[in-house]
Amino acid sequence: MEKSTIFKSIKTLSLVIVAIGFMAVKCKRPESVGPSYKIAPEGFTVSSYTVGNPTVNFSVPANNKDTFYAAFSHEVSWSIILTGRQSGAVKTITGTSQTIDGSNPAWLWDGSHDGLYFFIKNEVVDAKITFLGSNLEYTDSVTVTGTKVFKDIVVTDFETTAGFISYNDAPGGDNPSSAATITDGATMADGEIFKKSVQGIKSFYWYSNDGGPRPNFFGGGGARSVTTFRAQFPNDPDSLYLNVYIYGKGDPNSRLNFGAREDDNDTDVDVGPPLVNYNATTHAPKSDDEFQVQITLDHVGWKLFSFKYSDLTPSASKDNGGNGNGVKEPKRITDITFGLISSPKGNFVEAIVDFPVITFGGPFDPRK
Amino acid sequence: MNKRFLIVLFLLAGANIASYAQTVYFNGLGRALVTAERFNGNLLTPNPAGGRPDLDTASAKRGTGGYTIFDLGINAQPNEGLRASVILRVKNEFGGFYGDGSQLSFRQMRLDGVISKIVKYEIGDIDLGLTPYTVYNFDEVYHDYEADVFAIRRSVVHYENFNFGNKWRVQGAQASGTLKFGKGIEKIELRTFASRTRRTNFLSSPDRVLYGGRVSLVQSKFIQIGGTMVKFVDVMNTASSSLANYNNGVTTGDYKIGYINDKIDVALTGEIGFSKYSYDTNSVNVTKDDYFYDLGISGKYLPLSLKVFASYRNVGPDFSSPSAQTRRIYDAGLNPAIFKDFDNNSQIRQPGLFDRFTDESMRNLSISPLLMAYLPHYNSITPYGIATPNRKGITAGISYGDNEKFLKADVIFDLLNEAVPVGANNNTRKFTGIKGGALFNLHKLINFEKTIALSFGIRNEDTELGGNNVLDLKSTLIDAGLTWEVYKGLDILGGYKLINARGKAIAPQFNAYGQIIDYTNITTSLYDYNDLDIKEGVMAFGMRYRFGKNSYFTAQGHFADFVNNKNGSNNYNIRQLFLNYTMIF
Repeated sequence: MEKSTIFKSIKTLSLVIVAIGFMAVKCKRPESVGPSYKIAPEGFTVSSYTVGNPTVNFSVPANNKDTFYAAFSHEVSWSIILTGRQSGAVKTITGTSQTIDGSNPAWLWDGSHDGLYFFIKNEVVDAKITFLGSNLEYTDSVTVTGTKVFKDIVVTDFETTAGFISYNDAPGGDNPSSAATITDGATMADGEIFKKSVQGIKSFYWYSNDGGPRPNFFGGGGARSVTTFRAQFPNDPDSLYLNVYIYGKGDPNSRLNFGAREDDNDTDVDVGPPLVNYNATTHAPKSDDEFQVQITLDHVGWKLFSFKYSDLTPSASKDNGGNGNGVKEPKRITDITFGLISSPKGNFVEAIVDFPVITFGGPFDPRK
Repeated sequence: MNKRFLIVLFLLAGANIASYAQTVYFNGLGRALVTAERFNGNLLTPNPAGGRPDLDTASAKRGTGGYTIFDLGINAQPNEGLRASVILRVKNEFGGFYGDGSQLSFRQMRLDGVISKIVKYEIGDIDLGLTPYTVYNFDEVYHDYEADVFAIRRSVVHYENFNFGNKWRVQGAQASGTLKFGKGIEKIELRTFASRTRRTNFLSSPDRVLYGGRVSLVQSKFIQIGGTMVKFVDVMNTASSSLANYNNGVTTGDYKIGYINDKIDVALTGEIGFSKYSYDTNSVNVTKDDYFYDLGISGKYLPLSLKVFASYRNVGPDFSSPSAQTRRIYDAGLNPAIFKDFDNNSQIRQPGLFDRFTDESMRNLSISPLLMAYLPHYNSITPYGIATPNRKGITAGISYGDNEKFLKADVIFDLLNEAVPVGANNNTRKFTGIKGGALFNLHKLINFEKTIALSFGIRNEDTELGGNNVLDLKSTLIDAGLTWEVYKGLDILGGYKLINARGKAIAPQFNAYGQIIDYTNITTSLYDYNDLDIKEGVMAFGMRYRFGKNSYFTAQGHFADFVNNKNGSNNYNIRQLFLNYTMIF
């Protein structure tokens, strides 16, 4: 073995390791990670803790925040955990201080929630305060007489039937049984009595037994006009998001087409020459676009789905939204649409949806 | 129905292959396992002050369970370049009768072989393992000197969860080759792999893949140098509307330079590397880069099997290596397989020490992009393995002997700190640990032909944070065991395992991008870490009859006790009879 060969090989790989080491130390390391905190020390006590407004109406702009007041023996990291007794909604407000009052905007509650469920109108909310490193906890309560008004465009919350057009593949038609209804207590296929909307009291429920004499995939649908909001819509389809909460039963055969219809020859908005089949604000299925995404309902429970409008695909049916100009134009959107699908055809399928909402610049974030 | 059709199809195909194959052989495992257990203690009695006003009349207090499995490995090897293997599993849960309730499934499918006598390949269900900072499935807890009576239970759990050594079981492919040289360099070993760890839902969640490779150069037995790269990334455009793009890369270099002769083996070892993480959504783009180094020295006096070693490591708080930092056991959020409920089925019993080495359902089999939650009294110093982020300091130890000698013993010290403080204006936490043990093969001392072995192990951890925020958590894990072969092949087994912990600890809360956003008290259904003082013990004894090297029958009694010294109303005990017949062929 020649020494020069050995040293050449070692030198090469050593250089590689040195290069890795050099790149490693080039990584900038922070001086600390995470926000500061204070653990409750020995002898920590709580002098007072109350909710500012025992009743609060978050829908009224002048009175849409609640304040908490507390005083402690030491500066400490605390958490106020708000839990709706009916909805199960949760909101956590945290801070590090010796007193709590309205001086810090981050300590105010604007009616928003952190998790899946929304707070419900007229429900009592427990406000429990806990402290880092201590078993001490105190609870006060607040009644929500009006819920938060989101800055996003709520297509419908299904608390009323107003504006939502729904249809099922009716018995006697293709399916032996089907339904499309606003519900707060539907009995689902497996016998589960659906009890809990993700927002408010009611949701929208479709079911369909597609196993009739003429199974045809389709199990029902619905649409809600959004033409009154179109002036706010951006031109860029990358900036518009469609969001909806869907309750799933873990059934991969149940699918939901979710999307939007456009009116490609709309003259309300000056975005191009009229095409065939002019109609001012109405989607014409044979000549206008419908863009959609098919969601497989193989999840269990409620889940928020968010889609960028530019990611949606044209309807596969030429007679139903697949024959427009093929361009995603948010300002031409007329309706937000739903379609229950059996895939493969011939199955019993069902879906519950709630709180479809349109957002700009990013997916729906209930904390904002 | 579809699955059964596939199985039949596969068997037919296998038979067809077999007819052309030069070699078809079988291996496998058969196991019958039965447990019968009782649940008792204060936990099942009323405790009005603790919010448990009623006598527990609904929760299960007795149970029986078990199963029979038969894993048949079918291997068809027409030539050296190809071997197709499958492990078919037939499982019959305890209570099934004449096959009623039996399940037939594939446990493993794999193709492997050697191309041109140089490149080894594996496709299908493969086991991946590289270095401790890149791809490494670290042990769930220190159990080096665990009693045989417990080790048998743990081996069942490991087998069921594919915990074979420190490797991850994934679906994918890997290939390796060795280039040998006549002079200058002894050999260069190359290895590459790719695995899909998450399947796209074609909608919002894209495919996620783990891929990488390693090059190691062995100049001689004195000098080895290696380089490893691992990427864990989302494959964009595999989902129609993905709102996030995850990308994590780890690159490391390692070396071993030493001197060895008939008596001594001295070596300098080390691994240096960095990680690059990005998580890109429509609203945020989080990037984190960090580095680590681990430099060590060891010396071994071969005639006495005496080894001393020490290393210094510094792992950054943002060093991200999911395939080396993912935990193989869930500490939180999981229901125990036995006696999961208490308080009239309204609360979930927090799994304890006994569940951790007997429950087959507590194991994590997938690589997590985020650091998983853990209970610090089980492992506070290295909860994410040796690659645990935000650690720096010395690990040193000494070992003596091996399993074939009268005495095998070792002791390892950890003197570590956090590399940077967690929480601005706070000190760093200090971690002090000692672990070790001894195995006494008494039969070798007295020249007795049948085994008489005593084992003893201990792991003590102390985690402290000073300054304005005082945290102090101490835990001690003790193992003791006896294996006594009273008749040829017949062993009497005994063991005791204890963990006690006291003190205070909190946990950071991470967002979806692995950043610490807050802190929280750690609470379970049975204890909390604001004022922790608990003791969990398991005593066991039984017998094992060894039919051969890999086949045995064992009958054991296990007595598990949980004691919360701060809240005695949560104390409970489990008594379990365990029968296990295992045959490996």
